[in-house]
Amino acid sequence: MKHDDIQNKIKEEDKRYADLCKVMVVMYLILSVIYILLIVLEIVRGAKFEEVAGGICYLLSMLNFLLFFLYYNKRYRYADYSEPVLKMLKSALKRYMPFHPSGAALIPGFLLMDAGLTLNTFKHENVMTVQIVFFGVFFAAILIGLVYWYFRYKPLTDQIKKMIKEIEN
Amino acid sequence: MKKEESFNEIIKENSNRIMRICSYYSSGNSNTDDLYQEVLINIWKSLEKFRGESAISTWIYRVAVNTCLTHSAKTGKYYSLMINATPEIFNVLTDDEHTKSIQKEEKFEALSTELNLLSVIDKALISLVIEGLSTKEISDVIGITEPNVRTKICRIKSDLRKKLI
Repeated sequence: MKHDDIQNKIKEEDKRYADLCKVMVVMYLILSVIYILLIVLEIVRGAKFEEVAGGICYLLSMLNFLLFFLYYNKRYRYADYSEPVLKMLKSALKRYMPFHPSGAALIPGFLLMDAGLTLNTFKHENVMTVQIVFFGVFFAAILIGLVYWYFRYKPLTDQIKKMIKEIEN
Repeated sequence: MKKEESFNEIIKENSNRIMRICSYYSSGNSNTDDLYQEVLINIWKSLEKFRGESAISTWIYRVAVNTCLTHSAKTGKYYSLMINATPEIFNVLTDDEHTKSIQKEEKFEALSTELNLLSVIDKALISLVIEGLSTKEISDVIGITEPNVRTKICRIKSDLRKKLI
């Protein structure tokens, strides 16, 4: 059977995405454990408040990403293909649009990461420079993500949109 | 009941139904078998998600139509709707009970041509009408509202009547 039909494409992408999320979960789990150990070590060696606070911000940021990818793993792994055709297609379209309201759940993580970075560097770096670098990298990452989406997922979302339009018209 | 037992029972009761839906959307026997296998895989994978909100037969139609429609989408509106035309099917599709059977048989080819000119979704609706599903069940399978289903079916039948009778 040729695997170039919409449902198989969606299934393949869902599986790939879920696997990717699983890898991210494992990665953030390991990073969280490392940060917990680092925070404990810093406390033991009598580190300054801002260094410990910075470490805690990083840890909370990792936990935020960990929870986000856990949710996304579930969302993509357990997508329901037995829903009515239109609903199934609309759910798939939501999953593969570049921006989704659920993505807002990552904002606290990024802000905590920024706070951690600022707390760890404000004594020897200009705060404004740190912010410019941080948000520069942040927006560059979004841009790279959008280019990747355009080539990898836009053809699929266009195909889904076309079918939804045909069903609704 | 174990998943496997439940699956086997469902397939035993619905295999003809699934096979018919697959045959509407396939161009040959091997393609029908491929589609049938694909539908079975989807039923197996989704079985735990069946919550009994609709009849099991409607749910089966949903999985089957979902699979066949999205499979057929690669060829767009040009995939063929393989219907074995009979006077009964002619009646169902045109609401015509007055024309004699022999005259209907002469129009089977024209009916097939007209059906294959329909859009993907219209073909799906027609396949479910032939299967004898109610408007509510069709709405449950496709995911559009009941009035929308009624309007679309009415329009298709009216077009077919104009062209065939």
